[in-house]
Amino acid sequence: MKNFFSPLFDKDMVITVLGICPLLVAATNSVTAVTMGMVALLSLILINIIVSGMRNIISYDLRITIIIFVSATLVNVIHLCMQTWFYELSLVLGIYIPLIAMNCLVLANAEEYALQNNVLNSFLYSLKVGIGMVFLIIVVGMFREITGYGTVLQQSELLVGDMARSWKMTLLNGDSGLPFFKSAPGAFFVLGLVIALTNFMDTRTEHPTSP
Amino acid sequence: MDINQRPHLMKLVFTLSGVAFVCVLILLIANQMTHRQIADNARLQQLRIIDAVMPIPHDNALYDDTIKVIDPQYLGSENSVTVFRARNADQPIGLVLMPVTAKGYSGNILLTIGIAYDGTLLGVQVLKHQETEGLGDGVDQNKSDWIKVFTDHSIVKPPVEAWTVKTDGGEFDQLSGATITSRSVINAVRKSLEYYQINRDNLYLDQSNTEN
Repeated sequence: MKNFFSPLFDKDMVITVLGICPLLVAATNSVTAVTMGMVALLSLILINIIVSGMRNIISYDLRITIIIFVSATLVNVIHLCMQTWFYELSLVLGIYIPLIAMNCLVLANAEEYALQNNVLNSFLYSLKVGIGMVFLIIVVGMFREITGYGTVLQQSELLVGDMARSWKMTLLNGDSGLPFFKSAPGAFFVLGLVIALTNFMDTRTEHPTSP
Repeated sequence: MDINQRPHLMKLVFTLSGVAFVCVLILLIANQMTHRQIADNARLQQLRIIDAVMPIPHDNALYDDTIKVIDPQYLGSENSVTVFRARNADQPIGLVLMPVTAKGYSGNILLTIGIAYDGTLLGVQVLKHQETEGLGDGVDQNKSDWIKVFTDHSIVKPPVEAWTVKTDGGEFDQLSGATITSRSVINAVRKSLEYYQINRDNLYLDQSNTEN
């Protein structure tokens, strides 16, 4: 049984899953997912770069406080920019943008990696972590949009402008989507499916001979 | 405290104050650079909603011809509600109430309601809500078309006893899975129509002497 849950005992995995959950809740369709992922990626990279650049003046006792200062300031600035250029989109995403400031994926990366490494390495590392995260958010967002609303690329006009109104494609008729996938628990359910799938593929590659 | 720790402590205080000062400075500058545009965006959004519930052509400055009224019994909250009056050649043709409060399933739902002079509903739009994602959030005009069920109704059409959801024997379709939300929005719209019926003549006066 312990084997079965082993990914959840792995520290990195816990942080990734916990960090990604609040981002997933807001990702109800592909457009909000892309936005949410991009904003989180941008915050992650910038916070890592800044913290890494400041690592020589940050004493050990103050590291958490200062990382939170930096991330709160940065995310606030990003939120202000979003309200300036993408007002409606920022209304749709609501509280989930400011919440990135306390995202444990972001904070843990800054504390565990950026404080000990130089700016370039921190940048590359956060890019690597962030791109995996964005990919996961977009997969979950698209899955939820197709199953929950039965559409693809709805609301894309919020991101690209009025010309994108016609991009919306309806795959299922009318209201035939499952409301469960639009709700927050639906996001965690989809994340669970993705984790199960990756675990399944991992076991297949690790023990190719076992049935 | 050990005397040797003091320089260290001073250094902590100094670093922390420095970082906090820089953060505050950055936030101040960012706010300074964006707040005007954000206020404009918010106003534009509001005007778009007002336009959506006032389709009748009018020749006055609708956005500036306002009074504030307070009526917790009919408009659902202790806070003041802004009334935007539309006129054509000085004849009142309708008004917009914003925001009217409905008690949703989770928190208040703020509505904007447009009413023609004769009491016909012109439209209802949701300003703000916290309803359940996937169920109650269908009240939002961006999520579903449900809110359009109200168009062209009035306090006499349907009669008052039919101003409820179909499950309660009423006239209106409910949002599937969100009967409480639908019931509460329907109620709030009916009450504001009643409010309009009672206060109609006062609402078009120039002074804000309608605060009773």
